[in-house]
Amino acid sequence: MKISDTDKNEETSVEIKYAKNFNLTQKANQYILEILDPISGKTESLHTIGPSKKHEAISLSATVVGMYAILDQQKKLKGVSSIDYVFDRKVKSMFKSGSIKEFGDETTNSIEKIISSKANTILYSGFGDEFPNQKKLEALNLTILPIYDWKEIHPLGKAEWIKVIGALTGKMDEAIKFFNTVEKEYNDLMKLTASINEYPTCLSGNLIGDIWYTPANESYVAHLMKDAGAKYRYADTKGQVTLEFSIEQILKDNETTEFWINPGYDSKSKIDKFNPHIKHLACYNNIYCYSPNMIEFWEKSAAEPHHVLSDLIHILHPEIKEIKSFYYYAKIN
Amino acid sequence: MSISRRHTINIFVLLLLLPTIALVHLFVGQIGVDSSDYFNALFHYDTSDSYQIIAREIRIPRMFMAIIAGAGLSIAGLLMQTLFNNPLAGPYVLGINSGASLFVAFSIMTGIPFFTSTLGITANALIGAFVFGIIILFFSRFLRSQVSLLLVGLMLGSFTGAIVSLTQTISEADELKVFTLWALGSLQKVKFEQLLPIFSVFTIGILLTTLTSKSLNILVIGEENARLLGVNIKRSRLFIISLTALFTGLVTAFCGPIAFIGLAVPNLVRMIFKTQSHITLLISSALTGAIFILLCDICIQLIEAHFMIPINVFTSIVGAPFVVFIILKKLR
Repeated sequence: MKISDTDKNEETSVEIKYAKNFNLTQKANQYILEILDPISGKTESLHTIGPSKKHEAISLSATVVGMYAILDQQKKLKGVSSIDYVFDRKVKSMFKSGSIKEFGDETTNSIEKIISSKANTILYSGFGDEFPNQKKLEALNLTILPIYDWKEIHPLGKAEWIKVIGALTGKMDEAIKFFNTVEKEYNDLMKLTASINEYPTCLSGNLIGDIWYTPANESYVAHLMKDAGAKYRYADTKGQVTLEFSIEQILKDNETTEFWINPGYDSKSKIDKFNPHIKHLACYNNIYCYSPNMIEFWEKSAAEPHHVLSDLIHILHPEIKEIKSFYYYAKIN
Repeated sequence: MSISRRHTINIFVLLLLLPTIALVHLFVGQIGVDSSDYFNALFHYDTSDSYQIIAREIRIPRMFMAIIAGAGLSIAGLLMQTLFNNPLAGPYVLGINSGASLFVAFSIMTGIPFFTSTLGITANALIGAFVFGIIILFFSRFLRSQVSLLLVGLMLGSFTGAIVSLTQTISEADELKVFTLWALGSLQKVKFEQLLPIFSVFTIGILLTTLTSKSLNILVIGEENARLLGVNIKRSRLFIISLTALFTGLVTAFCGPIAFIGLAVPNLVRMIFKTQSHITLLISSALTGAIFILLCDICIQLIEAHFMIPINVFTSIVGAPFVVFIILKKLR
């Protein structure tokens, strides 16, 4: 629902410390959610959300499903993209009982199925484009919310999107409490690496076709690596974009790189199949990835960046004894 | 049939050009690899030296795969064009590539380790290419118009594309990833150790193809006349389809689908050589095809600093206008 400027008078802003792609303002017992364009920072859309109307949602984003689960609000979900990409047991059980259905992704969902579900909110990973049939669905009073958590640069910025889910489900206090805990634990973990002297070099990404895609230095992954006490191999790059390199450049640049994070596979045999030339690099013996727990990672890691940071510190600095095990990551053999 | 003096000179020029361009190809890339790196990579290989790794693991296999892909697809295109007496025929247009892709998709989606191995993918690509070659051969018996056969090839391509898309929607994430990466295609996925078996199969294919040159020469005058001249049409057809499947399957399995080479190169060679001698056409198509892909890949490497183009995309950009030119020339 669009908000006119004259309605913005009696508003209290919800504190947003890290997220850059939304603002949240409380107005009586409702919230005004302002979704910002991740590139320009300008307002993309305004929505009135809140517990005054019955909330029933279809979430096509795995991270959003994870946030509903954290707030124990799975009962407010009517649908997900695919049950194969859901980790939460309660959501799986609701799917089995028929109270949650599969709707496919943005490109394959059926408008008739959405309407017949009686859901009043659709949450999906925003890419700057309108949701298919958005105008028709809005005319039927459905709220369509693009979620830009994946475009946040600061790991805690991703986690802060749980406040949007808190506003939608009437669990704002719980969402704020959860976020504050995550923030504290994240910052406590960073203190563990504050006094280290050696920063191991890290490579990220993998080949797709003939191109090696890896994040630039102002990206979420690079941010995590820096916080975990690593020297990202491409720390001299700028921006938040995905960098593209040839395999030759990667081999040349990474002769002495010690760790390879996030190759996207759960075994070396799969890496060898599509990237047979990388095995000569030293970092081939130090590959770590979340792929063995991929579904859980995609669902929970955005809201729990302190667990991702803990894993990375454990990989890069095993000498730090306070961290004893992994949440998502595993060594790839 | 012997090769004329003019054609001998042309082939000699191509024979000189191929190693020259292949040598240039070895030294083009984002990283400066010099001749001593190649020498060491071949005779004193040090796996801790990234320049030697690039030389041995990337550049040399890439150069050989460019030659095999260019020569193999061009020969396959020439065989198809002569068999169907249609200058617009080719493994890509007639759906032979699609057959290889479909069988590879099925094999990968099963998730059975053997089928997702290099050997499994290669075997399935060969079988798929052969099966679709037989299907197109079957349809050709009922079609008199050259355009109709191309339309059947187009339909086969659309049909397999739809089946592959359907298979992708019901496949697991891992299998989907494997297939997507395979379908992107690449000249540099082959390992140095794989070159010998691939090159051996390719060489056997080339030798067997030269045996067909006489039948191909006679097929040009029409199947009825060829039969009267003693050619065993049924056996020749099957042999030609098998060779086409061998080249297309081999290239598709290791490099992914590459468009327009099989269609464009034999036509280009015919325009230059103006001959129906298939021994001349086979040799010159193989050499021109190899040179063509090497040149395409050199261009890709030169512009790679700005943006990277898959080989399939580049051959389509260069090949498609040439095919339109051939069609317009025929219409005149």
